[in-house]
Amino acid sequence: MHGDTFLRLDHISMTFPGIKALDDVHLDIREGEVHALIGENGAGKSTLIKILSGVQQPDPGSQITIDGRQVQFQNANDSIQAGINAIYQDLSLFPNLTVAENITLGQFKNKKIDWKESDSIAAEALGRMGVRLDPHQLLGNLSVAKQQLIAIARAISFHSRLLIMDEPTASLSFSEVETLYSIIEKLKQENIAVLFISHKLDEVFQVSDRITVLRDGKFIGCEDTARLDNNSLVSMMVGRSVTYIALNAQSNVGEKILEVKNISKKGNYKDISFALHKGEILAFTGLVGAGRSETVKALFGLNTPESGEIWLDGKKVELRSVPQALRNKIAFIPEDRHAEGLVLNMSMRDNLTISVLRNILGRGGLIDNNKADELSERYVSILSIRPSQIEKPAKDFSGGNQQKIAIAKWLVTEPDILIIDEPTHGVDIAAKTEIHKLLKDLTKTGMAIIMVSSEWQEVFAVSDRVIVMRHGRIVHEENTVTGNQELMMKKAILGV
Amino acid sequence: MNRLFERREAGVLCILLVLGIALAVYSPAFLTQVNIKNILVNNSALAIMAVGMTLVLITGGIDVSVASQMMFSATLLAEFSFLPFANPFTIVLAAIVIGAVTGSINGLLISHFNIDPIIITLGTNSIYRGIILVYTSGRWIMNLPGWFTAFSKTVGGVLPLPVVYVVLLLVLTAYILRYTSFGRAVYACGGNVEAARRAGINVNRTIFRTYAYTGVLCGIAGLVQDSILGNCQPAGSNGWEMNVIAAAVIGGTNILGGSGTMAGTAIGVLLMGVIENGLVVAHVPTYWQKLVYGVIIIMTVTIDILRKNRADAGHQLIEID
Repeated sequence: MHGDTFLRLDHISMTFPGIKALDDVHLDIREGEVHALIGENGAGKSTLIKILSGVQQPDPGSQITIDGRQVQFQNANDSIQAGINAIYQDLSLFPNLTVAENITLGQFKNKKIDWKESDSIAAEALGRMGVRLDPHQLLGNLSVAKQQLIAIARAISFHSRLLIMDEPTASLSFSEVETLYSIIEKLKQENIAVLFISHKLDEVFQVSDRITVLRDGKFIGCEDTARLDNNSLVSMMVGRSVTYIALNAQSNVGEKILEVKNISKKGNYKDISFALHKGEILAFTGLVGAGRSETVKALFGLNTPESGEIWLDGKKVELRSVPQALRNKIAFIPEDRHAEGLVLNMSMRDNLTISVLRNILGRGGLIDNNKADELSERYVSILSIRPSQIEKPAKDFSGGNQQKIAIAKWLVTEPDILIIDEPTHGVDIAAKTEIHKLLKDLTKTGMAIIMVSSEWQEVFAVSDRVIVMRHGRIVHEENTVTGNQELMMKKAILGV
Repeated sequence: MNRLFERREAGVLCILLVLGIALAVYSPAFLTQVNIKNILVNNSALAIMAVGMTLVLITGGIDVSVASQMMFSATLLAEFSFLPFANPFTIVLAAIVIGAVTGSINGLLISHFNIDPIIITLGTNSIYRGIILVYTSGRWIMNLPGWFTAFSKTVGGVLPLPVVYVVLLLVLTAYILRYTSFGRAVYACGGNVEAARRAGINVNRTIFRTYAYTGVLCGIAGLVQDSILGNCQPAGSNGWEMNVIAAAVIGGTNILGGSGTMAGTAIGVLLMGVIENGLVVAHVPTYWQKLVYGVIIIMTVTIDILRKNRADAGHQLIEID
């Protein structure tokens, strides 16, 4: 079933000033296997990928051997020449170039570029994956899922022996994940190995043959997937057993605060009606592109409906702009906290106070730093943000803590309704659990929360009620404590 | 055919044609052989610099020192032309070497020390210009030798040599962009620099070469300009860098990097040349020139952005049954 080991990494260490990112790590890859690499945020997965793809060089004493010969990767090109190609989470493609140009970039080293051959290389790579696409269209015009297929096509056209996929399903919908799985299967048949990095354990169990676990930069173990289960894997990852704790058994649901009546916007959402109550967590789920984010943005004045009504506290309101939404005590935490949520170069304090500058003004209308410090420190302790240095730039915090800063930034506005889009996207299990608990705690103060989430387990562990969307419409609504998970998934995927 | 009309160049070409026809109807002086020759020759040095600027802009950089580099070369070449061993061959060699030096200094500082190109080239802009002003005390260098001015003569009474140089450099650079791995690297760096690095492209070397190549083109532009004028004014061509950038941008080069073509830049230079000439032909005071340039720049770029936004909006639509 498995081929022979062709790539070995032994005694890999990587020291950055002050931190040992990797400490004596091992990894071996067999021909044509799917090898999962897992670990919490900060476990050293990204560093290991960078070493494998030649972007970073490990400490002396680290050994990389291919087919029994010791090699050194000085740059990305060395690694590509050795048959290793990485598909990064951000895909690392060129939106300004065509599909074919993206696939064959770097194929014609030091010789005249033959555009006919370029087209045929691209067509062949796409054909091997069973993908049909016009190779002359601009990559920037494609969906993320299609762009990922291009990244894979690019990698296999370089005669790869190992494909590294970093969180490949992070921005894919269910049907797109299925396509990806079938392509991974095709790669296996061509004897191409895949190193699969994912936060989602169910995926890891579904696709991988073996699993290597890293924790705090150390090698914890490598096992056949068949010999592991959810619990044993999680305990390898965190050193303790963690699953999502069901937080919704105890409900804080109170009286109705928001009612949305038949709002529609062409191309975005249609005929949306629902109610939200004080102390309630209402989840919006469905496939990526089902119109969930588009719908909740309507409540924050960002995607104003063309028809329909929104009622707040029994009064009809107009939410045509963000200031209007803020005046109505509605806050919105976007999914992409890097692009939309945080100013990464600004300190945590400046990020926390940017939306409430009016509250920290002192004499003469100038910013009072003491007030700013006081306010920031209060929220740092409420959310237990680590490290608690308020002067530190946002970019220096881990993913989970950045998520908390993004949440805190809107909590300072003291909203009645908090809308949060994918609250735990891209953070590790421990941080997820903490964020879940935080959301639940907020409802105790009477805050109503609308949570957009693609993760079923999260929806069923945290929310009180779930709304399933498909093609811009609400197709299903149910109580998550008593509800049927399978039925909900069928509604979202198949619409039946 | 459809693809052709979707391209950015097509829009600017239409503006150019409409303007040309309007001017031809308005004034019989516009569409004469002498006038057309003047437009082409007067803008040839600018066109040569715009070729380099397009490359720099595609990588996501900018070079505001091009006019200074050109005058640096022009001044040294004017002095050089009076030396005993100066001849048409050695002076071309000198132009390339001088340009390669000024361009490489820019490229080295930008790629090696990773400093923002606008800061480096603002600095070298002042330095290159300063050196020649100190050296010449601002005095004109007059009466360049006949073999030097022969570089810009008109062959057979119809074909001005500067136009030939421009066309050759445009074609050469278009070839480099389309058929060499350096050309691909230029687009890749401008599209996504991190992805370029991960794809095994030597980003620093690509950036360095782009500025060095632009320097060489500025060196050649200096030679052409001297030869056309028959003299050299060290304080001349002040502010030309803005016209060079404008020509590239009007021709569809993305100021943020990633896209741009030689055909577009050629049309951009022509459009600016025709506007300048048209204002003269139409007896509009030359003071209007700057104002009209500004309006054209904002107009072409805005139309482009609006069109792009509309195309993007089309992609975001969700299918609702």
